[in-house]
Amino acid sequence: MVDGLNDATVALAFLLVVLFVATRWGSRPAVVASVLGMLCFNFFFLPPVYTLTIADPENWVALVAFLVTALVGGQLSARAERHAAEAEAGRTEAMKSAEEIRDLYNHAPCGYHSLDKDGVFVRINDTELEWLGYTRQDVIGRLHFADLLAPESVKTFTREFPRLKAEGVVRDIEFDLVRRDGTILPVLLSASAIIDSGGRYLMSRATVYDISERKRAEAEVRTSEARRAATMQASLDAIVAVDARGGITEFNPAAERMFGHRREDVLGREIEDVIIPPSLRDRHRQGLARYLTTGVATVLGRRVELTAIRASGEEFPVELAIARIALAGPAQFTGYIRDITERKRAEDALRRLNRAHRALSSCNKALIRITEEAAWLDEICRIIVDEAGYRFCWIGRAEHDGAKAVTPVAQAGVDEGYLKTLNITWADTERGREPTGTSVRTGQTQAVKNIAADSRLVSWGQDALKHGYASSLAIPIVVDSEPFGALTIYSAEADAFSDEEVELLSELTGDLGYGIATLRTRGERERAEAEIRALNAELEQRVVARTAQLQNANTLKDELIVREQAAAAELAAAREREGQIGFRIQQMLLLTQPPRDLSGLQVAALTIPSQRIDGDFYDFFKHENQSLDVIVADVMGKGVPAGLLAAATKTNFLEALCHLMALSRAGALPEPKDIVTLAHADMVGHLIDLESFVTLSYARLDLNRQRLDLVDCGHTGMMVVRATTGRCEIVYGDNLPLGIREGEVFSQITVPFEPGDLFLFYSDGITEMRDAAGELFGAARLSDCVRLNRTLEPEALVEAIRRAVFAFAASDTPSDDLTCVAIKVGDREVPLARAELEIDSDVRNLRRVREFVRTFCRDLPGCPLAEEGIAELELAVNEAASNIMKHAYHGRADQRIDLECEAFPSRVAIRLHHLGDAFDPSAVSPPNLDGSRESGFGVYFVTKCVDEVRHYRDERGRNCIALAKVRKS
Amino acid sequence: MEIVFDKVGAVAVAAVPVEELDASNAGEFKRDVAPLLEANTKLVLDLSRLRFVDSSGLGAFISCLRKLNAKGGELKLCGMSKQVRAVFELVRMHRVFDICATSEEAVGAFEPKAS
Repeated sequence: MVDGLNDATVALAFLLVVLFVATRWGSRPAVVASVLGMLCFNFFFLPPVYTLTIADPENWVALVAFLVTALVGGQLSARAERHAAEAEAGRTEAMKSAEEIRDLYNHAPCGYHSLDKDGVFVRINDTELEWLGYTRQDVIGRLHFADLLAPESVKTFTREFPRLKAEGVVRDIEFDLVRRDGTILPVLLSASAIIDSGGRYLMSRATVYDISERKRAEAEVRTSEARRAATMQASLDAIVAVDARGGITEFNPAAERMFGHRREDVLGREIEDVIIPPSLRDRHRQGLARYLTTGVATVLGRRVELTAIRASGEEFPVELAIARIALAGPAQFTGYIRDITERKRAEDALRRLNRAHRALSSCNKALIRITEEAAWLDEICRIIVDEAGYRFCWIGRAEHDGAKAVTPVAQAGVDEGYLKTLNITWADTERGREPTGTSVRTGQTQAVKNIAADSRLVSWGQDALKHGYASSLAIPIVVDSEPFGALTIYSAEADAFSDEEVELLSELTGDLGYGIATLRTRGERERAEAEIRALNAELEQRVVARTAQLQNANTLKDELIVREQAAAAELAAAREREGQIGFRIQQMLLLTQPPRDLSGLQVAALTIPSQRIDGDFYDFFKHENQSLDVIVADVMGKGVPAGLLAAATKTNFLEALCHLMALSRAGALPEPKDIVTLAHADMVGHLIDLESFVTLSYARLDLNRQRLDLVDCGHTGMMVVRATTGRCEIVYGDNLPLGIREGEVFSQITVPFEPGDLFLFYSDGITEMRDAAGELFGAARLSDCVRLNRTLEPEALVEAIRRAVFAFAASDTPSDDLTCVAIKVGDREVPLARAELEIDSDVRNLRRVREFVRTFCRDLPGCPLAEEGIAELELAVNEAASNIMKHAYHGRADQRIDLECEAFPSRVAIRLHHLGDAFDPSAVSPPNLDGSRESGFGVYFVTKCVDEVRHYRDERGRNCIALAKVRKS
Repeated sequence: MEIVFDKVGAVAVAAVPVEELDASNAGEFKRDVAPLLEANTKLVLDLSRLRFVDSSGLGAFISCLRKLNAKGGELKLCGMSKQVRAVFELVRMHRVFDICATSEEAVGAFEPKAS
């Protein structure tokens, strides 16, 4: 035992060591320390000391108590130490996650903020601050949320903020925030309210999304939508969109106008029920179904021409392009549709005109070949149907008997018994009012443009429609000035027979009549010749056979001689008739009237036919741009064949001109050399076959360019007399005549001209006239004559030439045709102004006529007419138009009148053109000026009110009344 | 066309109700003025509105004159514009018709015979 230390103190010291170990190293070392402590306590302090034995049992108790106390204390101490460490670790963890949350709050891809009960910012994250361009100091406690809003959004906020406070939550509200730099930021905001335990609002917690991208995308969609809608509205083409089932989804205003349906009525309906005619519906359904299943399209992406139907049931041609709308999902199609009725109509008219040209040309060629009248009539009908493409055509012969029947003698085309049902007469009875009968009786062409719409035709119109005839044309045939009958043509198309077509078909009918006359004459002549031959043979035979009986046969011989003389006289008469026919062919077919209403050119022509026609002809084509084409030609050979060949040549030239004009761009005139080359190419084969040829001059006078282009094909040349020098020269080209060589290309020469210059075209008939001594008249005498008379007007000049030629020849029966055409270039008079008006022949249009005249005159710069002059001109034109309506058109209100006004420095000229009856001024009696008559003043007014009145038929076959009013100084 | 007229004593004064009388409406005028010609013997036609007349219109006036003359009546015209008068003069109809400047003058011109 150690002195001074009791056992309890030592035990406590050991316990302290154990507790230290426990707190420092944990529970296991504490247990080891407790056992070691117990052993040390026992060894050093409990008696017997320095042994591990214990004497006193009481000390066992103390030892055990120490051990237990040390173990328990050690465990408790270690546990406390562990808990403290765990608490420290937990605190560190908590601090770390709070930092993360703040970072997330501040840098989230959306904005966060909180507002107090007044709407003032109490919190805001960095993202939102960055969006707005503010710092936290600027905002927290200083700015109200409404301070950052665009005016429109402030209203939303004042409405929604109280709701947040009351209901605790608002979602997806759009605001426009205003950035510090003034720009707008569209956002979507959701917020919830934070509420204390007493239910009072503390602050909001709002999440804000930037939706500017979405807004921009929406705006783009809206713009492209608007652009598409505007395109649809403004498009001139009809636009119709359909879905995959064919249901209409869009129908623009142009479509409404074109089809006559209203958009709201057709949306959703099937397209085939609305704009596709019943006959095409199956095809449409098949096409759509095939495309949807196989993707093979027949109409997609191409322009196609189809027939569509209007609300009225009218079918019309359209051009259609279909596009598939490039969208995902079921197919949608947009159709762009254009009404091509007008274009079709123009194409049809041109096609028909070309066909009519072809037919005319074929008829001329046929007449050279055909020898029988019946065959001729059949051939004409065949040509009209086969070559000109009309549906049906027949020729009726007017019987000059009591019943005045019209008997069909030839026909071609689709008849199906139609003619048998007709019972046509040309008598002036109710039944004779039908067009064919009327045309025979009146000698006037009768056109029915639309059989279905013409009320005059009740009796036979229905029947005609059943046979597929939509329009008809009846043209009288005249043979030797006697009505022969009529040619009636039916077309399957309504509105066939344009003015030009009628003109060509009338010309063709003219050919038909001359053909009949020619064939009859030819027949008569052949019969007469045959009889002479027979008589000669008979005579010879008898003379030889009866030489022995001559003495007895004298009387018979005398008789035969008388008969032969009679037959010879008949032959002469037939030849005479042939000459007359030739003359008429020449006058009607070959010699066109020179144009008379040309400003800047005066034209006159002279023709003196010989006993036997020899195929001279001339023709004029007036073009719109101040130029005139002149053809002067001479066909080799004599008699009717030469005349007919000339007619065919003339037709060839007209055809070539039409053909080249149709091909030319922008209405440019084809060059004369090209016209000649083409016409020649078409006819050279025939000419070579017929062993004939044609000399010809083709000249074009161009007033704008003041030049003449000449294609001279072996003709006599062209004389030019210059106004400035008075000299006369003869211009020749170097082309071969037509019909010499295939593939010939012709060249042209150009001659400039000036006002006052004179051109003369002439046939060799003039220069080859001979005097009694057999000397030729010659080009030199002709040139002298022209030069001496150069100051005369062309009309007077050609008359002077005629007198000179006959005086030289001392005869007025030339052996050749004498033909010449004189053209004088006037002082170039360019109209100051020009206007045109086309009206129907309805008296209600007289007001328009007067307004047209008045407006034209008043609008003129430096009008040549004073107010009274204008009033007089207005009255004159009114009366002329009124006369055309009442008399030329017999009151029909649907005919056409064309007016042309031209103003020159010293006068105003007005021309009225019509296709009605020609007016004969000499048939008008002077008016009664004593008040005893109510009418008959019109013509008198016209002549009193203007200075010049001319009536003529122009080169297009129209009747014209030309009025001119001169300025009074 | 409706032709309005006033009675001034025994004289009827009617106005031609159109500005232009031509082939399109002269027939209508003749038809509509006929009752006036039957009901009256003294008639004044006031042409103040008329700006244009053509041969058909002139014919209509001559027809009025002849119908009235045939039953012993009288027709006077008044209020003619320069242009309309020129048309009358062109065919010397100003000598055939009684033409006064105003309707008052025309009515006054009847009175000696009326009394």
